[in-house]
Amino acid sequence: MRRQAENTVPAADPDDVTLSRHLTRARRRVRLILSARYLVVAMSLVVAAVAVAIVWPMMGAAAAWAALVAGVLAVASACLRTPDVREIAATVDGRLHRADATVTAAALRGNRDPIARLIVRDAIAGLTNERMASVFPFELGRPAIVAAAATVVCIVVAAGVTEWRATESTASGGMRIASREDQTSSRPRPPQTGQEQATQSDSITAAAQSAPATTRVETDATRRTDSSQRETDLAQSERPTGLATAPSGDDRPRGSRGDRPLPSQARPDLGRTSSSGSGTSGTAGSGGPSSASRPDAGQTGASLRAQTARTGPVGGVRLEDGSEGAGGVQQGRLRADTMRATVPSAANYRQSYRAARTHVDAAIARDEVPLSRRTYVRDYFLAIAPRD
Amino acid sequence: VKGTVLSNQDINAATSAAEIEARAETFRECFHYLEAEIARVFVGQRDLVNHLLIGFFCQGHLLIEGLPGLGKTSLVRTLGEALNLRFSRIQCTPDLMPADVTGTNLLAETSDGLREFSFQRGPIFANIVLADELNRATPRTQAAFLEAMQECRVTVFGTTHRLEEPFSVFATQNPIEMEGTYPLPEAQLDRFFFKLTVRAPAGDELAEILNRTTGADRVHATPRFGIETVRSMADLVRRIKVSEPAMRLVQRILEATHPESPSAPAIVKKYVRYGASPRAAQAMTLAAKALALLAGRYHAASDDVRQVALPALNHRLIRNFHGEMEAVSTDAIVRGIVEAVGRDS
Repeated sequence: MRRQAENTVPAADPDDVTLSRHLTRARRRVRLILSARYLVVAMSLVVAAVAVAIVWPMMGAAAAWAALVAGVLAVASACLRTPDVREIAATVDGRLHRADATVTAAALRGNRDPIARLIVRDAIAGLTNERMASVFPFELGRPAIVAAAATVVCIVVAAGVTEWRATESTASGGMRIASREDQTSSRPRPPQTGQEQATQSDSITAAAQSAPATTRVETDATRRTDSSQRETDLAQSERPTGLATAPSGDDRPRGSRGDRPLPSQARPDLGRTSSSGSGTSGTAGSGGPSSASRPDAGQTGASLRAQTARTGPVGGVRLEDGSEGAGGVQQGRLRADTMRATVPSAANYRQSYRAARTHVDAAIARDEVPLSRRTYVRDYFLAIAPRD
Repeated sequence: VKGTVLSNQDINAATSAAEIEARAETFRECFHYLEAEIARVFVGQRDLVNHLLIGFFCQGHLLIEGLPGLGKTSLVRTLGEALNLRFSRIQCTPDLMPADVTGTNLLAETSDGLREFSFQRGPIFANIVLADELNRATPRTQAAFLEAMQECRVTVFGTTHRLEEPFSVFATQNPIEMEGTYPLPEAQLDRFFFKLTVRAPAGDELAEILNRTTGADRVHATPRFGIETVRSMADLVRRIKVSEPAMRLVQRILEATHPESPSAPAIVKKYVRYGASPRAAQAMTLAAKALALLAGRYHAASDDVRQVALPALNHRLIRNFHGEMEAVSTDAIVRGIVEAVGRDS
């Protein structure tokens, strides 16, 4: 019975099948184009989110989630908003100037009226030689283009912000050091007698000797600050001398950072420097021996001054306090020992460091270093900056 | 095998499709033949001729408006001659009586000497009736045309007489001589399928008219086709499908003619008192079908509707006081409607 019923069921008209195939092809093409459009928008959102995450790392997770949601929504929208067959047929008619032939034929599929058959046949004839790629060219559309352009702008802005931040952080570190130096140098120092100076030097020396751990054990923050200071010191060591606060007896500026000796100069004299008790400024005058513990104490103030002038200040800001007397000697020794333990030749190291640092800065400027590693690389090079 | 069994219905459908194609070809041939024959007599104005033929094949009644001497009568007469149809002309005057149009019972003597009433058919019993200057007839006589135009029949002394199809009334009226006329009421205007306007001939057309009409030979149309062909054509036109966009366009246009409609454009709200009736939509749809068939299609499209909107609507819009005072033509209003609807769609 069922078999008989199946045989009597009129077969699907071949024209209807052909028309449906054409319309399905067109619909598939439209869906592809829509998906591409929405994906461009979604990818733009993702790229924008990545840029935001780079600029504001705190928002990285939220941006990633937002991008993910946007991408899913875009794909879902592309699938849901694919026009139905009737709309597709109307679009085909509009683009091929077919005078509603396709949309009428689509509506008359399955109709046995001879006029309907003729309409379907004519619609197929009009679609047979048409390529769907030419009917629906691959156009991204204005929203996708605008999204892509906005993404490019976002990337450029993000890169600019990142660069500006790097520059600002470097500049602010230098400014901090400079301001601290200004405060130190501009602070009027009361006149000190030789005994006061000796007492002060002794107390500083004692403090330095009694607290070596605090000198060596540094937090990250202080290390970073010190690194910035060392950087500043390094930069200032290249300046011409003559910016000292007051000339010393041998016409060399005293207390200026510009005349700090290079480590290569200081290291051979370390023993003498440490024994001279000259400190950094050499203003101790003829204060006599600065410390009984030094093996060759007792040099004259002039020799100390000369020695100081040759060796220059040691250690930068932290040594300022010890520069007034022989107390600074101990610090100079400590630091020199540290340097000697790591770098055999300070002069070569400075040159090597400078070359390496230049290379790294250029690499960072060319975006060859990943954004996430730039801070690390900078900190590293600040940490290994040559000490005086 | 399932899927390859053709039912009798399919076979009939295939046969009918071939037949319909042949009829459609005949329609186009007939249409172009009539265009050519009319062009031999009536010079220029192809749009007017086109609309006239479309209205005729849709079996509508047409109102032709134009100044005297522009060839309105020649146009309609040539159509009747070319199709070998019965043609009659009624010159409407104020003293024209309804019986003069429909016919009347006359007391006649039979062969055996008895006298009895026999119905004498009036000029309305024709395939193509030219009611010349219809607005000069009295409303009573004009009303005599109503039943004939709408129902395709006349009733005289309680007896109904059917009119032979095809039946079309081509009424003319003079737009300038309004004195002593009886303007057609809106109800009667609405019964006209199209209102066509005959314009004055241009320079070249006038020279051609002079050449043809002042010579020794008088031009006549050659009869071809016949009443059956016209009936077949009219039937074929009605079987043409209408696309969904075209149907929607007709609906929107009709809605836009009503000033109270939200979709009415500003020109309608400002100058129109009453919009078009559903009969206007019927006229647009039918005419669009004929136009589609003429274009070789079996479905009416939106463009077809746009092309026939003007002759189908321009006599169905009733202007308000502002429209009449500012002499805003209904043609301009209809164009505004079509433009507004096309812009919105």
